[in-house]
Amino acid sequence: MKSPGPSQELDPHTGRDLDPMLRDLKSLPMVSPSADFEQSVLDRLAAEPDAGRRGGKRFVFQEFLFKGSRLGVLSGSLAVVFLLILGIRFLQSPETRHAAPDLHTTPQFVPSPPTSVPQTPVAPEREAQPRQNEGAINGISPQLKRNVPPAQYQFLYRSDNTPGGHGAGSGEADAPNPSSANPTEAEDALKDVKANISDKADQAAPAAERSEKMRETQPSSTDESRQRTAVGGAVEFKNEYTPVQGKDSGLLKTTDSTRAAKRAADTQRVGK
Amino acid sequence: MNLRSASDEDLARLLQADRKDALVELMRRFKDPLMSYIFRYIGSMNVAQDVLQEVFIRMYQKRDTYKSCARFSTWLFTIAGNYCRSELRRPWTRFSRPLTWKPDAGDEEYLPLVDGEPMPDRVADNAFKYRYIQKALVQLPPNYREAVILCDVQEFSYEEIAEITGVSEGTVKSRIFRGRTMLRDLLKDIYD
Repeated sequence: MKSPGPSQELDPHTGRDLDPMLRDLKSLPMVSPSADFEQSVLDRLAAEPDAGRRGGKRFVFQEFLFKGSRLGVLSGSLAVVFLLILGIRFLQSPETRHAAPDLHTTPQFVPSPPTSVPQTPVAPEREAQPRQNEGAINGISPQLKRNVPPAQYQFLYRSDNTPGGHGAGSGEADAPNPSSANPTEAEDALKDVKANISDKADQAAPAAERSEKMRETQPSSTDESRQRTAVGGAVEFKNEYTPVQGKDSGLLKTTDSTRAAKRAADTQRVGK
Repeated sequence: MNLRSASDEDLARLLQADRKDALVELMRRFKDPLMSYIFRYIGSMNVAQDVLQEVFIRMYQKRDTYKSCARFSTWLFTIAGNYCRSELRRPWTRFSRPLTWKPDAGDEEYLPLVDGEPMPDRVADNAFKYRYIQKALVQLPPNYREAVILCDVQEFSYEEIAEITGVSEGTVKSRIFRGRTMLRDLLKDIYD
């Protein structure tokens, strides 16, 4: 430890001459406390032998809580309360509630009572309530089916669809009980179905005639029925076109028939 | 036993035996070095005086923990260093330390001179330089500042500084080297 007096000119660690800065550091003047310093320490020790141990500048938790930082504790509590309110409001927001809809509280579609004319209820929008209409048949949700008595339920079907055709439903949905239905309304529905089938058959007939004519004038090809046979460098197309029957009748499966026929004619010309 | 001629360790043993005169003699011996160390470290005269008082009170309270195998000065400077470090962590000390201290604040003017120090005229010549050195010291990081003060101002050995600061000798050397480099950079207007 440095003793009061002239500072050394040599570095005690290296033994070399000190540079000016280190020499000045060593020659920094001593600083003394006040003259009655010793007496003030003795007085303090006599007055409070435990001085410095309790109170003073030591950290005391009770002081921190009740004296030192009341403002900090208060503002911290307010911040916590504010965050709690924010969290509760977030949980109650519509977006959060829509993430997991409650079927018990969500209003469901209630069909109107059946009248003399068969009514087809409009199916609720699938985009708006995707979970509610999950597994729906013909736009009728399973929940709705459960709520409708069997006698009324058969009128919820559309007249142009036969029940059970999709095979997705079960029980009452797939096989309505005819004995419990109104016979007059059932007959009307059957008539509608028959009329629909006859209309489609009428539409299919001219389409078949048209395709037959095209087959005679130009050879057409389809991807399914195309058969290639190489004869002397020429390519011969054997077309087996069958007009589509049923509800898709009138449509030609070969949408590129004209282009294919053109390509075949070109190939034959090159072969010659 | 003549207390004036007794060693520091003997006085410490007397202090452990509740001899108040040993306490007075120890305060007389160490108040100036400790005051200089604390003032250079903290940078405020008023805070340094309060800290010095607390250091002596703590020395008296912890006298039983001193082991005679260690040097008493090292033990006492360890107490002072710990107190200074905790004091620097306090916000009121941190904010009032380098910002309020100005070369013209008059801190040096009322620093009482110790017997054996240079004459007042020489002090007046060097006053400008000392103020700048003190201002540069308080701008060093606390770890480097402590090492530089203990080594270059208080002239402790590396081993003693390592014991006071609680780090290895290699760390002490590194801190002293870096502190001196930074200090030289801060004082280049004076020494270049």
